[in-house]
Amino acid sequence: MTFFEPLPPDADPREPQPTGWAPPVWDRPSEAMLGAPVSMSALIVRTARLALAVNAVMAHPNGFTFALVYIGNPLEPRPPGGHGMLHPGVAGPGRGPRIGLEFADGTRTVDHSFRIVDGRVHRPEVPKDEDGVPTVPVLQPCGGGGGSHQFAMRYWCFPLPPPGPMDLHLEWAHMEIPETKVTLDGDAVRVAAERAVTIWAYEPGDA
Amino acid sequence: MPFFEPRPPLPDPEEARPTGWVPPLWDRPSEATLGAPVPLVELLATTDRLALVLGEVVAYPNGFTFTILIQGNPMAPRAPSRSGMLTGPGAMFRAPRVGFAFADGTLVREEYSTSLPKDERGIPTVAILRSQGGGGSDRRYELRYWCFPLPPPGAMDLYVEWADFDVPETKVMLDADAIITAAGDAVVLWEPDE
Repeated sequence: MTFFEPLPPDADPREPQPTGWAPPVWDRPSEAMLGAPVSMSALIVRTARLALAVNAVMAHPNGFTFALVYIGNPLEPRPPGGHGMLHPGVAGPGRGPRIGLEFADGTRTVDHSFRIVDGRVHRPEVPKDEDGVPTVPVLQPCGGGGGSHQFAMRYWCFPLPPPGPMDLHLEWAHMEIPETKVTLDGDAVRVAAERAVTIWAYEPGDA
Repeated sequence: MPFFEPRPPLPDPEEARPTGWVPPLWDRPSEATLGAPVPLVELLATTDRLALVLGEVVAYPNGFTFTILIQGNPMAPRAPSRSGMLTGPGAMFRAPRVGFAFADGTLVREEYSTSLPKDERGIPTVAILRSQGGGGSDRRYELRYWCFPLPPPGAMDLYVEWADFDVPETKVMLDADAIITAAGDAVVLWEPDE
């Protein structure tokens, strides 16, 4: 008698089946669409040690993505054998940079990723309507990567901003960066979203 | 007796020394420069299974970076045991082939030779296209590239081909001037003599 149960037979790879995919409503951009780039970039802060910038803004019909880029100063003296900087988690759980958006209509949103509170994972609750769609703007990370000198963290914001400017706020106490904001053009994001392209059309029952 | 030798002590943070870093001339963008994004996205090819997309073009004074996004069709039927587009029995992931034709007739293909023709300063006298790695999943994958130098003014053609995934040789015309103009907006964050 073996410890593990026998594996089920491998499915026949020649028999593809529907994936059941449907376009996401709010939690991410559609994988079947090509977002439109927004001509937008801003240096948020620069210290002797690092710089933070926002770029790679992409507009989709149901929201937009952007990248928060961390750039380490390659000239900064460091101990022999020591690596460069940093990435969002270098300061420890809950000690990375805090970011948020403030829209022209007064609504605000902060990073809705989980936090460690008293040793427990805490994910902020988001109010939703009867269809399960948030009734407030949602900002959440959607991956990232990089090396010891540069790191990009991507964010997804639902929905598109209202008309007018929008402020991106950032604070990173661990790196001695006080609360700072840059003003971005929300209209540029809204206009760009109209240029998003459907790559594969969805019809209910297709997938 | 342990297998590993004892580690040397960690360096004292107080012993910080200059890194000796100098701005790269040609083999990569400067780590001390914030590149300027070029609002350019092109759908290069679409099949029932995947799409190839040019995106995230970023201009620097000495060249530009861009990504080739491989986006899987989320509706493409697949076998239950296979998770995404880049897997399958005996699947071998060979990257798409990418290249440029500049307005002055220069052809640029991926080049990793160590014997490039160079001038007296060690700078290649030919245009260079090199992979900078990539990442993703079997449903979405990004390949990043570096091209040295900036293109000459005028139209430039981007060529892509991925026969392994039924993408024939395809070209799209891009505006090199947009890349050149954006490069002027790159921000030097730190200078070596600061």
